[in-house]
Amino acid sequence: MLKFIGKKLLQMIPMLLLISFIVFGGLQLMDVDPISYMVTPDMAASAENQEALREQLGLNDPFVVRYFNWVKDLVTGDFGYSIVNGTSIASLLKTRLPATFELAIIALVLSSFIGIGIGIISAIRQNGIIDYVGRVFAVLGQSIPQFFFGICAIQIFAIKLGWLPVNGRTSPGASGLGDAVIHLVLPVLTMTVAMCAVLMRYSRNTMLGVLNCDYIKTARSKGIPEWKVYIKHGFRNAMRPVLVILCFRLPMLIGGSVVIESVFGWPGIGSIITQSVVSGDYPVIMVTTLMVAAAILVASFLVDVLTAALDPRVRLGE
Amino acid sequence: MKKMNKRILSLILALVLSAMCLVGCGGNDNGQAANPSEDNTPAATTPDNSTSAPADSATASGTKELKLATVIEGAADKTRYPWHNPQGPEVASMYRSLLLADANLTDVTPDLATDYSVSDDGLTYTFTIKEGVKWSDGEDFNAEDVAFSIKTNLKVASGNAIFTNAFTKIDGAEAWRDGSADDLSGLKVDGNVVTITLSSPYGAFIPVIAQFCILPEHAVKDYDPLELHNSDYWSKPVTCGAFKLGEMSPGNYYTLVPNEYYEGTPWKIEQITNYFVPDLLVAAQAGNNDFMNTNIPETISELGKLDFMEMHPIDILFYRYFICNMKGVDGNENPVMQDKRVREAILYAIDRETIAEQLYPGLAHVLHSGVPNDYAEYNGVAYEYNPEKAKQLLEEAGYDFNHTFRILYYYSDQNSIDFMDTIAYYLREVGMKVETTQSQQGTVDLFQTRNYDVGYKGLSAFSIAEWYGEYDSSNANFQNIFGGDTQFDEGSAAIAAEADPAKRSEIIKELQTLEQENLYKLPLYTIGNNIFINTDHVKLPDGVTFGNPWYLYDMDMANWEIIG
Repeated sequence: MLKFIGKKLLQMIPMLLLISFIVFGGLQLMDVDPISYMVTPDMAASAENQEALREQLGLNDPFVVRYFNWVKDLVTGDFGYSIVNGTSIASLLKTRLPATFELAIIALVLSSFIGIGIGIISAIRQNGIIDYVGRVFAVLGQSIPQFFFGICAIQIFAIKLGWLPVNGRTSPGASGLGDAVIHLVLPVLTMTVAMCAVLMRYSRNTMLGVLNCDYIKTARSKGIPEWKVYIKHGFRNAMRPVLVILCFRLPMLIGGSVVIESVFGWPGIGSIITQSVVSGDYPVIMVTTLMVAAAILVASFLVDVLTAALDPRVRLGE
Repeated sequence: MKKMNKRILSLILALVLSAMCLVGCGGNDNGQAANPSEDNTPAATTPDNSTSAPADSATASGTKELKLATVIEGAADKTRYPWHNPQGPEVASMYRSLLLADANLTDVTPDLATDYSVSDDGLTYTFTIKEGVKWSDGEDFNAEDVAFSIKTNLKVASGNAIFTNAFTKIDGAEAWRDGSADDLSGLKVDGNVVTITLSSPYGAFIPVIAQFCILPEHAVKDYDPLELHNSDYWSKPVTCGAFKLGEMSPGNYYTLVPNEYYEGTPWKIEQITNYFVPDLLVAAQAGNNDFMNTNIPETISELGKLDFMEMHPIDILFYRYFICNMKGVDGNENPVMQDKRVREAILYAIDRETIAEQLYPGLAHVLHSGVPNDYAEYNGVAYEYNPEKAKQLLEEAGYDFNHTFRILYYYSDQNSIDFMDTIAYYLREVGMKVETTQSQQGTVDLFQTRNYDVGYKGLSAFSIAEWYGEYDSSNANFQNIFGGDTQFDEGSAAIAAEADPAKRSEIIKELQTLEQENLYKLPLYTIGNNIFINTDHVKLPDGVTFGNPWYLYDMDMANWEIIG
């Protein structure tokens, strides 16, 4: 097992370097000049000062020089500064990651319990009321775009009813769980609905497939209690594809949800990534992209481990 | 039967959810929307058939809090940089200038300076600095802060051109800026007196000084001027206004609380909260934006539906125009635009009156030069919609109708996109092939890449002189597209220098004629603005006049009351 983990971790290093090089190269092809975002046409004090700033930031250096300077700084623990707004990337991550993590983890946990729970019950009670209701919500949850659902939720619960805040993570002068919770409700609800829908459908379909397998019939014929058949034989086998989906959602804990964070003004990483890409803020794009890439590689690794744990036929390292 | 019931139940659930979505998207329209085009009076207006303000949480907590909102950009962890546009209540509450302008930005009263004088030749300005003023960290404000601020402003990479244009007129400014001099020779401090000597007269120097916020030397001196606008100083600024930074919650909001060292009359407002929001309109609908300005018709219409938002129309010099890509300083010409008849044809081909009525109802006023049509200096030359004449001019000019005419623009709002589509339609009607391109990097694409024939641009001008200053051959950006043509230099220098209204008027007339002879810029409109105030939350004192929302002026904010 240790050998397997070590091998996977070592494989990540060249993979991350390759990804960083591709992203850096891609940014060059975009031909976006961060200076024009930093200094808008109307606010360009003087061409000479702008050129001095460009030189100072190293933006006149060749592509390869800039890439290796960036890698060198990163290796020494210096994440650098956002070119466009001057904020230290380390402090940006420090303030933004907890917000993204908070939102994503709650939505992930809620959607997993609700989605998998309803999916399993729907399969067991196929064509029952829960199944019908679940299927309707699954279709709607998957077909309504997140931003649209979010805007509707804001209009209803924040503006028309005035029950919940429109955006943000905290209120001025407020500290405490209550304030945090009311800010979380709408973004979590929006994220959970979409995530739930996918899990619900997957869980239901895979559970239905499993319940029709011969070994379930065998278990029943052996007189094993029905709940045991569902939990021990059905649920465990039905969970494998669902767990893969869950694992591949883990990078969201790092990368955030661009749509949700933008609609709800949630101060997380997702909205920063979007703005950085638009403005060519390459130090921020590089660091955040690498973080997300690393998270995806970790998720992939977790999938391998979990698959092996759930399916005795799969052996790690073989 | 049982199965049928379940299906009906499913259908009902689906309908309920869909209805919720529709309700949510229905906006707040309880009736006919207020039509901004019907309201051209400068008086405040409160449209009928509208919704009420949401419950006010701040009032419940007892704090007299003014709520503002700023669109989230980047890390959203800084207060506003006052050397861009010194706009809005947050700048007015935190920073001060030597002088305070009125809403017209022309007349001034003392603020950080107790008085000032100008020499007869208009070259020497003397300011006596107020004593007893302190910064929010308890340090004394002094004349050195004024000198430091002006000197630093000359070295910043990002700042409002009105400051650059004025301060580069100070004796020795170029040498100070390029580092060949250790000090700015035209700026002297003697006790509490600051003397500024200009190398040539600059008529708008006093109004510009009234926009220039003074920064504390002791807190700013260690920051690199080139990156000052982006520095973390703005996350913890030291101020000398009535308010100072209270709490900064990155990405969420920041609060401003009374500055205990402020020597003036305490404000009735007890706290200002500036929320970082994805959408200013939604913030206003939720009652979290007590003061906002906009010139976007859809936003004006939506705000008009809120009975608690009172509209104050503002007539300002906000130009929208095409710039012609003529020639770079390197001599690289764009052959398509060289014939003046082509440039004229574009103006004749577009029905600007109709576009103004349809896309900017009540806001846009068609222009035929840099001088608005209702100014006394306007010479009456007009480019009325005349597609036949446009075609004729193009043919006479030997215009290649197979050429794809390239229009570049950097605005991303829907109205601007619609506007560009409409312009393209009109030009196609006279036989031109047209391609519009939205730029993500305005400065570079307009003035360096130059891969276009005309570029759509905006200018919120401090005065007409700023419009004509763009023609000056020394203008760092425009010399790259007007080829460094020196025809306008004398006039633009004269208008910049002249303070006498009668003489300015004559210079403007001459510049206008020269402009129409050349047509390097194709004027389209001036677009007005509207300030909206949440009157359920804010009670304005009598006599407040609002002016250009991008500049600093006396709004009598000390007497704004938070109510409701």
